[in-house]
Amino acid sequence: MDDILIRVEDLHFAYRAGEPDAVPALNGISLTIRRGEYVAIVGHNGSGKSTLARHFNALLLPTRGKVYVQDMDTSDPRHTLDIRRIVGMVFQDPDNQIVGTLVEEDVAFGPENLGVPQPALAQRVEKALQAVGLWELRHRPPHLLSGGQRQRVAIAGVLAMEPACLVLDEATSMLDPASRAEVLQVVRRLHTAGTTIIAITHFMEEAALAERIIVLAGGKIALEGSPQEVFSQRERLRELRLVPPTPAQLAEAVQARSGVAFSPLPLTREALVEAVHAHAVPLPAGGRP
Amino acid sequence: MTEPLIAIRDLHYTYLPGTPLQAVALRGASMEVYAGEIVGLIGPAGAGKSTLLQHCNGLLRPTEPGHVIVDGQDLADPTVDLRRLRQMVGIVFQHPERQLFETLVGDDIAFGPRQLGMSRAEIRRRVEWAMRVVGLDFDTFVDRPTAALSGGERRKVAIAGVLALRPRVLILDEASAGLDPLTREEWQEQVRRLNADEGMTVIVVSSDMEEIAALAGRVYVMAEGRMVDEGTPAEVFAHTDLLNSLGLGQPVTSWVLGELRRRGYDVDPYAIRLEETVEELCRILRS
Repeated sequence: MDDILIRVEDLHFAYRAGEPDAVPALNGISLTIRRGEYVAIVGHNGSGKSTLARHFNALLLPTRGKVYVQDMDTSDPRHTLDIRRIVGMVFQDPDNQIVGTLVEEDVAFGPENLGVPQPALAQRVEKALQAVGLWELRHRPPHLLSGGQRQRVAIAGVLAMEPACLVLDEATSMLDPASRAEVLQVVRRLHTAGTTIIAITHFMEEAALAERIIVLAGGKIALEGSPQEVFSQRERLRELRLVPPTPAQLAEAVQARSGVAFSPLPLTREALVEAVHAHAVPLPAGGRP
Repeated sequence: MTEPLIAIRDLHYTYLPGTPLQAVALRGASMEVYAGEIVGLIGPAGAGKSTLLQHCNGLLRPTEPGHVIVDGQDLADPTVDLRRLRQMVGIVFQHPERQLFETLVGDDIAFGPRQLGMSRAEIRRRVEWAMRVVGLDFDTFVDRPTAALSGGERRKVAIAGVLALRPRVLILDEASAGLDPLTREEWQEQVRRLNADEGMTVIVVSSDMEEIAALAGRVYVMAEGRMVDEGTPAEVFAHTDLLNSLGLGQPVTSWVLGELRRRGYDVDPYAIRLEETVEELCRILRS
């Protein structure tokens, strides 16, 4: 099927593979990511999330099994550059990803290395900086920006490569709440515009924004489904060392106590307010009861 | 009156003073931490939180007006015993995983106690204890190469390395970022236990407001190098406008109740714990 962007077949990976102290990290993962999808990958510490993510653009290669990006085998070195153009990675720490002395130079670095000529280069940089809302700050040195702004510079640097897919490996975990919201807004906008998003996260409220959640445990897929499906399995999640987002926990406790049934179960704080509002005793006109 | 264990009074600090790169980080910050407390410290990036905390164990020394007094000792005094101070005040920094430098997990955690010249048996006891506190199985991990650990596991090793010194004051600077949800819950439980059972005084810096609400008995809000608010979590998290203006946001509980109040519902904006919030929500529902 040509709408499949990434195909993973029975992927096994071990750090120090073949050595006596090899540490297995992935133990037989098969999955597909469709073009334009928004997928969240969650799982306990050491479950293999980041290791899996690094296979999506050939930063790591399978010990056994295959990873295909647009039908190109990531193990074939002839495809490496093409694959990295298709799948861009944003990591946890923006400061490890920023190389330029000015915002616009940093964003131009990737496409320049791909040999993109002017004026196409300048257009790409502008488009990428507009997409993350930093065009006005293009002449600033990145180190004088806030954490959220620096992470958006890192995302713009990846976007300037015009990838079909953006992999965010805990890209918001070091940001303060406002910066996290900024980055998530950019991600949602990119997804709406057609970019495939793979978000690795420990924030369950963030995972709830995806269309599909893949839960890893011990280097295998343990659970998969829509946020509604995954987060309603509270006991199973606990076995997998995860908990539903706080709004869902509140909603479940309210249901159990009040007898009110929310359908669907609210997963975000906004959805919880709406659900409670819909089931609340109506307010008298003109103010508080 | 009991004296605070840590008292910071009107502290100023400037990085690279007198150079073109001069950056003022603290502009009269004051904070008091009493023995046995868990104090939360929140503030936007660049507020000066880490600069402030680095004064608590002498990594930075007061050079401008202001005082840092730890256990009755003014740290401006050049004769302060730094070794004793750093044994007393342990700091787990942001990205503690970058502090790992030994090849094997056990050696990394044992580094501090070894430096203090403890016996092998005592070192082993402390390493076992510290690994249990952070939730790393001793037999599984003690001889594992640090290079083969996941991000979250590396973080636990770094935290265990600080705990192995058994500090009286534990400062956690975004130490739980990157932990999975259940590990984070367990870690919070461990911090509570370190505080209750071992009498460890704790200062928690976190951008996760849920964590601050769950742990802290008192919260300071910092912005532009000084404190702008202080109170119980319920008080501080009810100050929606201040929190929003600083880009800090609120825990889910406070946010939801605040939003419902804005819509005219009579719910208690000071409820902050999950159970209290559930009670408030049930009260306004049609039964």
